[in-house]
Amino acid sequence: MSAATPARAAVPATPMPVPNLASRLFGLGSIFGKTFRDSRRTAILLGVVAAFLVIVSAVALATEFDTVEKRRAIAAQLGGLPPIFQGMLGEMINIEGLGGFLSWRIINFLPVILGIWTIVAMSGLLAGEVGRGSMDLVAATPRTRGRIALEKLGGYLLALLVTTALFALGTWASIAALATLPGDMVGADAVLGHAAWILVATVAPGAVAFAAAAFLGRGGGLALGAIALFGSFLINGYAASISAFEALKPISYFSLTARHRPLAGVEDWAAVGLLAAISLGLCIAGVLAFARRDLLVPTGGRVRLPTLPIFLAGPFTRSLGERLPAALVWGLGLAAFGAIVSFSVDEFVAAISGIPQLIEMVRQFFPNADITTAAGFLQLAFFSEAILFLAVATTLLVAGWASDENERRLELILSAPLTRTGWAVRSTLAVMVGIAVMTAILVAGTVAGAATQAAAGDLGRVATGVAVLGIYGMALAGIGLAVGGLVRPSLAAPVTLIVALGNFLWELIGSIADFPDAMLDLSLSRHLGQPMLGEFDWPGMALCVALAIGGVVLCAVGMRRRDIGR
Amino acid sequence: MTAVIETQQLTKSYGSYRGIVDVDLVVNEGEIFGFLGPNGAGKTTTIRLLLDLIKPTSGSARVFGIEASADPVAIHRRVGYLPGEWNLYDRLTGGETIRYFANLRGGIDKAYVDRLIERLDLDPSRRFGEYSRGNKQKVGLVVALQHRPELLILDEPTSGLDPLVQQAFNELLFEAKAEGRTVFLSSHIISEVERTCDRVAIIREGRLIRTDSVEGIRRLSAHEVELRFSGDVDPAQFEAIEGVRNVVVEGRVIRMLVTGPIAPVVRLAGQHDLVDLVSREPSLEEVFLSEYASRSDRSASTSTSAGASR
Repeated sequence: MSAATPARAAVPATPMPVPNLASRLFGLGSIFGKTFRDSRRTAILLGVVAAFLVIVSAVALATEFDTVEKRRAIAAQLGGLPPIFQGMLGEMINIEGLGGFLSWRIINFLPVILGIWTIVAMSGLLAGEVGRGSMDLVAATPRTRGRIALEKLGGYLLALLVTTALFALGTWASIAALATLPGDMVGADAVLGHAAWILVATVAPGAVAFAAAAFLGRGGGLALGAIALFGSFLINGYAASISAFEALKPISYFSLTARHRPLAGVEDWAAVGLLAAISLGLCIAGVLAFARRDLLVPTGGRVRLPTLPIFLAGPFTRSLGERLPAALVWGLGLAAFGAIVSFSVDEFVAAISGIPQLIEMVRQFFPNADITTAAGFLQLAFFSEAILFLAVATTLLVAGWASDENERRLELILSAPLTRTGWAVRSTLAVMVGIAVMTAILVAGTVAGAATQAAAGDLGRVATGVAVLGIYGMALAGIGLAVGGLVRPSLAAPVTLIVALGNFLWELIGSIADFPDAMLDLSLSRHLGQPMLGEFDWPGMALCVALAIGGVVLCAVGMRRRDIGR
Repeated sequence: MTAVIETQQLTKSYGSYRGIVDVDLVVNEGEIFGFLGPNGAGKTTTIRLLLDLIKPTSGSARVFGIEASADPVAIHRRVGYLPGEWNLYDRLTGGETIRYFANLRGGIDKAYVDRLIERLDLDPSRRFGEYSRGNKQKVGLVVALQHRPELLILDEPTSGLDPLVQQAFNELLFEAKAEGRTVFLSSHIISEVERTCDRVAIIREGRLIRTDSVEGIRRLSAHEVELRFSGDVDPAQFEAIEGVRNVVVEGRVIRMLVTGPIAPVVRLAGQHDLVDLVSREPSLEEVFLSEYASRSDRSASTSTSAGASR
């Protein structure tokens, strides 16, 4: 073996200044700095949103329940409800105190919202750059691949730390300003302890996505991260109501860390430490895989389905062919969720049959509802969560539509004798059909689960109720597609997600802060009625249909007028 | 001469797909080495193996005497690389992109970078996503050249560049050579390789089929000879000469391809009433195409005979 050739001495005449510490930490001075720089706006925005949610909730509780008696009364009222009526927020721990209430009512949900960002970002940290084609240039610089991966991971985790710090600051300020009753005041150590859980629980699904993306590519990593995030949350939320989920609790990281709520006065550092260790292990696996494997876009040995000739026939079928795999996968996942919840109808009916007061109480709120049927149960236990998951799936379908222009395929497509309007209408209709397919699978899964139950009730009502989700999804897609067509395609998916999460959060904040109905009604999801119970909000449904159709039309108008490839 | 790049039986397969097979390559210090082959021949695979972006299935690749997979960082420190297919960050400007990669290397001569930007006629203030293909390529070239690497590995570097910038790029290559640096240039633009390279390797279907100097390759290839006579001449006399093929008669003009010494042809022509003689050295492109054509014919006939024997 020949000896290494000695490096030639080259002394630059006017050396470029070595990047300073600030540039290496927050700028273009290092891979770490650039990664942080790329994430900083989202990190700050999400941190501010998290802090705002906590502050609004704290103000609402402190002003509405300003005496010890009122606090005890609300805690007793909420605690007396069966778990299915308590929502998806997990166990109530010391909710008469400000910290305990905030922890249960709003903070328990933050790892889900932040987790969506984490799985999107961490699945693409390395795989996204490999897919784009920039990693070859980065990897040819004098840095080991392990270091590149660590710097990118570190930069992103620093951004997440900023988000968590903003949340902690908002929480500490809320409690310091509004703790007026005994038990309200908690120390900074409890705030930090809670923030540590938020950080670890937010990183966990991202770590799954990061490790999986090294083997399956960005899409595969994103899918597994989403399964870890939503699966864990649902298992934990439904475990007390549905025995099938109770058995799955050991695999839910939300269940694992459910007893670590320092703001409520309980700590379980062992659980948080274990989750942190698992996440660290996954991150190390991702780093090692990136360092050792070929720098190629990983396909994960996925099965390639044959392309049917019909999917090559024209813009509509081609676009449908592109959207269909995601629609099928999301549809099957959602259908599994619907089926599992439906399988618990009899169990739920048996549980509440012995509590006539409870049935009476529910009838006060839903006079036409028969909660002892599958449809009634699903309206309470399924609809509000399914709406969120369907919105995420819709966002991905819209993102797929936008990729034609973002990835510069559109210029070639439009070089064919095809009008822009024609392409826009056909390709956006394919998105709508994708949503319809996804919804149809969800309907089938949910109805199949309900059909096995003695208290199945009117299965047609179950089907039409679930189908309303699809109309809502099409309305969201219409909004995103309109913005994508009128302004630029890179905005289509973010706008869809922001509108979906905005609706969800608006209702959440509104219910906590006791907004007047006129304000709450700004949320589109408030205008679907109680479809599983047979109560349809027809004007709201018409609005959704108009948004879907209008979105397609506006997209086509925008595509006709604006420059392509912006 | 010191070998800067040395591969021995370098092989890479992607599952059932062929990458490269038993590639033995030596690139010496201070030369501009052309790596020729059509799309999919294995040029990019070879380059990515040299940089340890992918791992070899078997064989070895050494750059500066360092095994590529043993210490890639030591190699990357001394290499400037421009991939064939790549992209960068749409939201950074060209200048920010160049600065980012300068920061990742350290010790960059800023004045030299400014000169490169000027010579390649690049506007560094625009966002990368707004650049034309050619301007993106210029950014990539600055990133590859800015640290004055000892070895430049360039995969299809002039793709998208206008002729003026191509000329500036060629000047940069010659300057690098004059400074004793080495250039490994992968291309399928044969005229570019012919103009700039000292030696050339031709790769086909993952295997190296020829490595030599540009002159050497030309020498070994057939000359096109055209003989004009005042009267009719029997072409069979020329066909009988060793190394002569493709004899074509057009009136009193006889054209042929001559491999090896041309003297026997000239002697025979002198025995007749020769009016004019034109002998043309083939271009590298003609050599390349004839190399590919003859090998394709051979493999076609091999597969035909193999098929017949089955």
